[in-house]
Amino acid sequence: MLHTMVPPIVPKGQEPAPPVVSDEALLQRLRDGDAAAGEALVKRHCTALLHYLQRVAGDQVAEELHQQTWLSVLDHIEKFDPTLSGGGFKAWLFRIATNKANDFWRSRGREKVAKEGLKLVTDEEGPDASHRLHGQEQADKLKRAIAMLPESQRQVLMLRYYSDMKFLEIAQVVGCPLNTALGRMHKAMLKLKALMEE
Amino acid sequence: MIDTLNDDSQILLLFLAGELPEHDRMAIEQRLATEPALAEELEKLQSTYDHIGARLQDADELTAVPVNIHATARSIGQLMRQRLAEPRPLVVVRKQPAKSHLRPWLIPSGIAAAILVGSALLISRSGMFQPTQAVAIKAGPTTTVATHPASDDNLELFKDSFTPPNRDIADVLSPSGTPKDMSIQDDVSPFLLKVGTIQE
Repeated sequence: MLHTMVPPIVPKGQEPAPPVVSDEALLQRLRDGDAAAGEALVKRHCTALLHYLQRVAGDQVAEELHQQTWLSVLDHIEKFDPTLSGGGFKAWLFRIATNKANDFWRSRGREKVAKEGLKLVTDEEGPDASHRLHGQEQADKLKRAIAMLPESQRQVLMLRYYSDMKFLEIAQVVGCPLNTALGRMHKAMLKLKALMEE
Repeated sequence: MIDTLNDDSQILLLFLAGELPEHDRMAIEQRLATEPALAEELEKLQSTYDHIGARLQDADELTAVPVNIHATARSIGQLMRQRLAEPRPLVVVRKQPAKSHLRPWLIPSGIAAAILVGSALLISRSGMFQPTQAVAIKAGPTTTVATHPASDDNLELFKDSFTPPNRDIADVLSPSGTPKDMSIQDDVSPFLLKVGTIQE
């Protein structure tokens, strides 16, 4: 009864029907040279993956990182072992996406990107922000608050909300012990709540 | 699992996510029933998590993903087709040099052993440790061994240096250093025969 933590976010109207063919089966078909299977995988995970990349790396680079992630999937397809990868294909996919986001942060410099990220968010407000709908203001506020989170906390929080991964799997993806991942999650939640209430 | 976590908030996060093992989950449920503060913290965590989730969902609906999903899938699918159509690079299999079955440490050990044996042979041929000449004289049905010390000093050195395992060399040599005749019987020490020179 107490296990009421909400499931990962799926945009309304886009709830996918339970997949008939598993991700792993599609991946096997892609491995065998069936690009249509790859396309089906992209469609299945596109929204969640793009939202995740938007949140952790920003709107401007999310699409590019998204494409890089899928090509990386193709490049390393032989390395995926469903018996070894905890969380299955989706966890592996988000792990690759997280690595791409980390590479992006490293290549651009954390400080610079952090400033740019905030700038992007504030630029989007525009001069007529006061006339926006309340929902849009809230969305902008949320984006600003997310941008102010430390990168490590943001990653854990977004992985939790946008992927099906368990905390143990998230800890593996970001490369830290379970208690560290949980600590980051807790701090991120409190900080985000406080920022949104300001 | 609980033992590895730092505080209750971490445990409660796992509890809310349904990721605690059965044993730990039952322990937390027992604590929640008796600790109001813990139950209150759980409620706050749940509320905060739900609130953030709802705000993210609203924001995602308002902030359209900047690309058309189907178009994106098609373009990535096209890239995948191109990659798959490319001839796969030939895998060059380089012949690896035959691996030695010897353990790596055996080689230096063998060299060291060879040096040791060689040194021992050189030293033994140089006569440094040949204080006496043992002569075995075959006489009749028995063999007589006579030892001739090169000098008294060498004799003392020889006596002090060795303690034959089965028989003391002093028993073979007379106190004055003069040869002591002795017939080799079955109980003659093999050690003496090794250090001496047997002459037929």
